[in-house]
Amino acid sequence: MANDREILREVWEGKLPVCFKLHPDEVVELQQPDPFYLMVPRLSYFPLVTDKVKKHFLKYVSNDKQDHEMWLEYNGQPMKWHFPIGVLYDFLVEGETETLPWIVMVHFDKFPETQIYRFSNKEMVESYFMACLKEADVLKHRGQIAANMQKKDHNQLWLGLQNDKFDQFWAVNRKLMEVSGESEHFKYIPFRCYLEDGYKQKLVRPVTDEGKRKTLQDLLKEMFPEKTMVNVKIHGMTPPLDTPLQWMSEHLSYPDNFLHLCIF
Amino acid sequence: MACPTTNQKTNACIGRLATAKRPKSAVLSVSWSLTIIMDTGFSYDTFEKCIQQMYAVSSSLLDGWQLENKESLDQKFLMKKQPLHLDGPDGTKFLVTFEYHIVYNICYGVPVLCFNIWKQDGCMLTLEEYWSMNANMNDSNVYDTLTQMDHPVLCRPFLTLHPCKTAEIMQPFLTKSKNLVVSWLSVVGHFVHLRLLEDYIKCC
Repeated sequence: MANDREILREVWEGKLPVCFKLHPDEVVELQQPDPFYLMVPRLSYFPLVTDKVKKHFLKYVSNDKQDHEMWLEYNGQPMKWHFPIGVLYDFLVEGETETLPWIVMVHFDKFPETQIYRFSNKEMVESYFMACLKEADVLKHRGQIAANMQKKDHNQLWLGLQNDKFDQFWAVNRKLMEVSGESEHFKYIPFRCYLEDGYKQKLVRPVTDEGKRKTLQDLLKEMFPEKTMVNVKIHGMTPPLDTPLQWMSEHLSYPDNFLHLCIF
Repeated sequence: MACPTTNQKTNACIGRLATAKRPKSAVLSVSWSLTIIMDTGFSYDTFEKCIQQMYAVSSSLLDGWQLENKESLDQKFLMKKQPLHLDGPDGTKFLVTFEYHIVYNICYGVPVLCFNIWKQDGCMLTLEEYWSMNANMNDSNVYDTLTQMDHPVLCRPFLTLHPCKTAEIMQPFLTKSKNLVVSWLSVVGHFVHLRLLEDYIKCC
């Protein structure tokens, strides 16, 4: 079970300063709107933190676009809001261009529906988040812990994330991070490796057949046997390659219970 | 000798009740507390054999299933585009094109049915729009049944029949069916307007 609590809190409190700008093509007023600055939690999702951004820019776009869904762009690419904010930043903002605040373009027109999800309401974000959480539990405990939880526990997880309440979230999440029965580790490690054209998933166990603990390096070997040098980034840092996988999964997973590893 | 008759009657009643109580789409909805995850032992290799077989049937029928492959992942999936008339909320019919994909989900170890629906103006039908026009699922909660999720191979958004009940749906066929993908599709397909011709059922 996750017991290095100060690390969990450190990860939870990771924040990014973001500067939102309305794309100049969408401004119909004579005066350009001021950019909107926000400090956003790395572990959250953009639709959960951008209500104020939308409100701020809405008066500058034409009337017929006011009920359109707002979407965000960075470097010419629509941002996949269903990835946690920290994953987007670590993956999209390359080393040299890493300046803060992170400048993000706001759009209301031409929603890129084939590339990113619609999020007409927060239930949709919740539904997606819960589906991920459940998938992670299928990998860790064959789905048994999530399935045996009550509706109020699910609500608590969701509200904890939405309202940025560490204690509320972890009171329930700790159950998902426990190992069940006699086993000393999860069945498989829930993770995704982000590459240029999407992400890769595989079934990777936290221990070898002989029962030896696997490390991040072992995971990378299993994922990319042909590559000799792989760089990983998570929560804005490069974890040591000898970090045990089970520990990583318990302490460095995002709230959806997945390790989101950006690969360079 | 009255007892057995009564018993038979009672059993028949209970049987009817059980069927009546279960809404027709309950089988698809994600009910967290009721979910039982079973190891189906349904590997990617078995999945690939099943879809290869479906593809062979489709090639002889010419009904449009294509076998796709993403080289970098070495994962195959089936894809089909199909025009269809949907009943609009105001009773009018309108033409859409379904794009169905049958893909393997590695976490659940089951096949997944995902799809997008295109209107004639080239825009996609949203989850809510489709829901309002789908009488097959009116009695379940939309967000528990259909979720917009990443296509397991293409990593793009698709409407997805949530896979967490699939193992349960497949359970009765496990030892009997020779093609589990076809058996499973014959159960879930019609909820989202996908019908298989009888020629496929012969694979099972």
